[in-house]
Amino acid sequence: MTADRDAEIRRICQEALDRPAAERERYLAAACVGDARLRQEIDALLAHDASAERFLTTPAFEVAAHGIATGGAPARRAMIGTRLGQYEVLSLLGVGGMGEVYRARDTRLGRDVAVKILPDAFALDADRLARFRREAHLLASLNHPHIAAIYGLDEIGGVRFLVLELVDGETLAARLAHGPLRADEAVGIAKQIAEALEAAHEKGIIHRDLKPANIALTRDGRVKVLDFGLAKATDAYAATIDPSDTPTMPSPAVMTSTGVIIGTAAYMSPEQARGRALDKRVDIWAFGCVLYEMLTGRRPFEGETVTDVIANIIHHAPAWNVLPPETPAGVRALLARCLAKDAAQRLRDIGDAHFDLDGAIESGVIEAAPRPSFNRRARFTLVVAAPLVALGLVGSGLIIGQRTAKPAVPVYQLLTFQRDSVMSARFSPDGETIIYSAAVDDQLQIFSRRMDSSDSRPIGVTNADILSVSSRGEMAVLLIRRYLGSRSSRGTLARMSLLGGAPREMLDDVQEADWSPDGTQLAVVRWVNGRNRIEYPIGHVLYESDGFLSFPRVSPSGQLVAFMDHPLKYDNRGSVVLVDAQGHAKALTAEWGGEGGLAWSSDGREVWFTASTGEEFDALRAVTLDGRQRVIARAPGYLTIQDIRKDGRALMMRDDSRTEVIGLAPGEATERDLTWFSDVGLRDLSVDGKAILFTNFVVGTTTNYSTYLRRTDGSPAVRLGDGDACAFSPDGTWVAAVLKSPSRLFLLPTGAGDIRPLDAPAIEMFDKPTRWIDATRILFAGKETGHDWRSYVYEIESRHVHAVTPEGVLGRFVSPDGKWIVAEDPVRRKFLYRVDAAETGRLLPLTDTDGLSGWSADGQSLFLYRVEGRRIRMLRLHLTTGLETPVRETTLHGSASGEVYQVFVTPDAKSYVYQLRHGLADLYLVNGLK
Amino acid sequence: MPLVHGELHRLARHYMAGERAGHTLQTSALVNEAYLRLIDIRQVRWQNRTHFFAMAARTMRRILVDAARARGNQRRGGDVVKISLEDAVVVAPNRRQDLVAVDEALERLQAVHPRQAEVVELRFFGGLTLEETASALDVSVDTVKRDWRFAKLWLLRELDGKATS
Repeated sequence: MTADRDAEIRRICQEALDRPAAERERYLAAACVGDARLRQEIDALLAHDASAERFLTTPAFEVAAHGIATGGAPARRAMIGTRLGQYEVLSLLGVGGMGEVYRARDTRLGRDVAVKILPDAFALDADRLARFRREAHLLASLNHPHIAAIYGLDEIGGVRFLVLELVDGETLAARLAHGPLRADEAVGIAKQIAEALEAAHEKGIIHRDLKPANIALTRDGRVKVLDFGLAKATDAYAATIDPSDTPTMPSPAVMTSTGVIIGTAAYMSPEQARGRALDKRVDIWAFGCVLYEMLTGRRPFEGETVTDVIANIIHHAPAWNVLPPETPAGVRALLARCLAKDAAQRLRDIGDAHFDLDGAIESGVIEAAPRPSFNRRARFTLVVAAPLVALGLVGSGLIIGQRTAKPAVPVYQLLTFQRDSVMSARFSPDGETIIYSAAVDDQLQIFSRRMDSSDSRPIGVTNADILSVSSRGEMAVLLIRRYLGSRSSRGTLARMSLLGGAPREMLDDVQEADWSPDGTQLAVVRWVNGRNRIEYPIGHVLYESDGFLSFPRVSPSGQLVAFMDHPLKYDNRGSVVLVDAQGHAKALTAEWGGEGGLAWSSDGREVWFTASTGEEFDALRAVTLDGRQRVIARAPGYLTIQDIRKDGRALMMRDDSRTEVIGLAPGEATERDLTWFSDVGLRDLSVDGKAILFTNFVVGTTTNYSTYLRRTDGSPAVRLGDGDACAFSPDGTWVAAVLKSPSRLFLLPTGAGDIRPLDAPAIEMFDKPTRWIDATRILFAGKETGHDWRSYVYEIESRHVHAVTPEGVLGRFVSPDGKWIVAEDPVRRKFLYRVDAAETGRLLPLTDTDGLSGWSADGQSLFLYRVEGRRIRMLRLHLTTGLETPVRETTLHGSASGEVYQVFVTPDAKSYVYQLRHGLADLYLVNGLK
Repeated sequence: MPLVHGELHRLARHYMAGERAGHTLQTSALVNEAYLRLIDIRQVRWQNRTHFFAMAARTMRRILVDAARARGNQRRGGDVVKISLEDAVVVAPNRRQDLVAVDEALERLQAVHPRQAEVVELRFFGGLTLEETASALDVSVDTVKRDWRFAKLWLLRELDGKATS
């Protein structure tokens, strides 16, 4: 076939298709005269035109997505004829995005049901399964004649499956294939759909995928809405909008001739299409689409491909003139309200649609007497306000109570004008002044600022952090030797009057403190014997933790202390806990991916805190003493609530930290900026200095972080997989990493290959520091129940695990010959331990400000780093002689205060890499939070 | 260029919207891979958004097809239940939905009708609209429509032909 010939075929084909079908034959006959083969070719192509219309309409992404979802599992043809407990599998109804659906007979109850087999991916993820189970329960509670029922979730012989109501009939989609319905029929069906939606919405369930294919019409003329499979329960108290909404339920089956269908874009609301947060109004939109289609026989929003459809949904109005002329005005109005692109303008309650539909049936002219919405329960509606501050913060308010309550829109006022590193902030007793600490030239200072002025005045004590201001005008401050830029610093607790004077020291090894309401007692978080604990009053221990505790806050009654408990030492994952004067503790929330910031509401009924799951930004939330949660406000960024006053004013900090990674590759003369994302943890430098390993924390990845590799020559970073990166293997082909939730240790290949989990049943939690000892053994930080964190050796083949350091001491680096470990204890003293023998560690002559960077190639020296002002000095400490010799030195550029987090040096000392963190934060005064 | 990353992510979320659990993870993974495999964006001057998407389409294709291959999601035509199309989206494992098969057929199309193959790459793998495709190829929307239609015929014939042979 020559190029000319191909071009000719194409030309003739296209010309033929340009012409109406009737003319095509004539054209082809003329164009191919004398060339029967040519005509044959073209005919063969044109024969596919009918199916071409629907070919490739699903974007490749989606096809791939389904492939991922089904996990490539082959259809279980073998299921037919077998038994699943009391269910006898009869036939395959179809294949859905989540597995196969079969018709089965329930031999115990004597009825036919639909059985949906769940893919293996479910069985492996306990979290997902638990979530799924909870949702199944909730959906099973939906008992309504117009909603297809979910009977149960079962597991027999390793096969997990859902049992669903089998609906006999045809789908609305099949009906509509024959053309539009009569107006009265359409309205009758619409009413039943509306009832189904109303029942679901009452329970806080949103369908999210309503469309004709999900609406079944039974033989006796009843409507059954199916596939509440994409429904996700909204927490009735929080009206939480979860941007990472992911549905987990598969669809019940409809016994039709056309089989199971999934996921079309045509009924998606604009906010769904934009990937925004959803609430029940997406169902209202879809309802409008369905009603429109029933009346006209066409979809309101169409297009050749999914992208085209979405473009129409977002930008174009449906064709209103296609509605049949006899369509009552009330129905037209209802359609317009359902298809309002702005969700705020859309019909809010499907229950309100009843009236329009009833009226349509009876007379066709609607009287506008609004239907009273009697509602005994409090109703929650989320109102999103326009950005109020130039920085683009979005305030949101929550309506509680009656319909007539006005939405409260919080106003954010920026208090700090430069990019300060604000650490903490508190109100003065009269609320007219704000006391805050901020880093200036790498020194933490305390400032005061009156609300009505823009000047900040230093209080007069440096290297101090403000912890609490009492009702008596006394400050509790923390005197620290060095500004560490993060929360787990510790120092000496001191008290100082707001009016001035020298601070009076009270207690050492304190991390945080909070005054009691009467200003006579302090609740403190302090370190004793390597453990973090709460004492209130000082000396009276109420709670202890293996990880760390933060934000102790005494309740307005003075009887309780609320705080955050973080199981991992260097991670702000944690939960809110309440403890009383007798030491009885109770967790108020489950664990959040990241949290920090806590305050009591002035009436003592709620604890306000800022937290996120890690998949979206922090939100300011509240939890009552019996554990009911709600969201108060959201804003982009990492938020920390600092203090609240009775009148609802609050001090909120927005963290804007950035990290930089800078390195010197082997053989090069100048450093290179290796920064890839704005918020990462540098984890390792390969032995040859050619690659770095880091963990990406940026919100919007997963709650488990992501592991990346980047070559130091500047080529792009490569994502290796989920997890918090730990270290390269000696030959660089593997990376050890940990998963936070569930806590696991595993190996990721840097090239092709499979993830290798490292299971150790005795170990409850895994974390960094984790390093390779040699190709067959890994040193990891682990926690056994009842023990504190320490380092263990994991033998990869035998899976044998043994402890190698005492409790509380963690191994940081392993010598190249795999025989020695240098480890740190909680106060950063350094010790040497042997890998193979259980001996006491040898204390090294290093201070807590010396950082460890690695071992020398000959195993005789350790590499250290010291930060002096803007210089990083890298040194070699010879272990037998104790001599320190300089190895490398570099100067930090850039302006803002950057803190050096970690420096790695290769064993040959030819290259290094380090990480800087610029801890920037802004302080806001927020009015109007409720 | 975080904005670009956001665009890809937004695109991915479109496609994944309404899909089942676990996809958020996969969306990110796919998008991250696509993002990272693109030429170091700081060194390329993107003429405009559409130029970027053209590059993205090519990359996306490689990634998705590689992923499909790795999953071994290749099926022999005919041994699974044929589900007829009711809506725009169907998951029926047949050759027409087999990314690897489509990719191979597309390669062959590229050799014979390059611009038409490009239209397919941009629309199917890159998700571009008719207008965006027209802009990227510097042709009229009508031309894109005709090319798209023809390309699909050609591919279908290839795919069905291989299935029966």
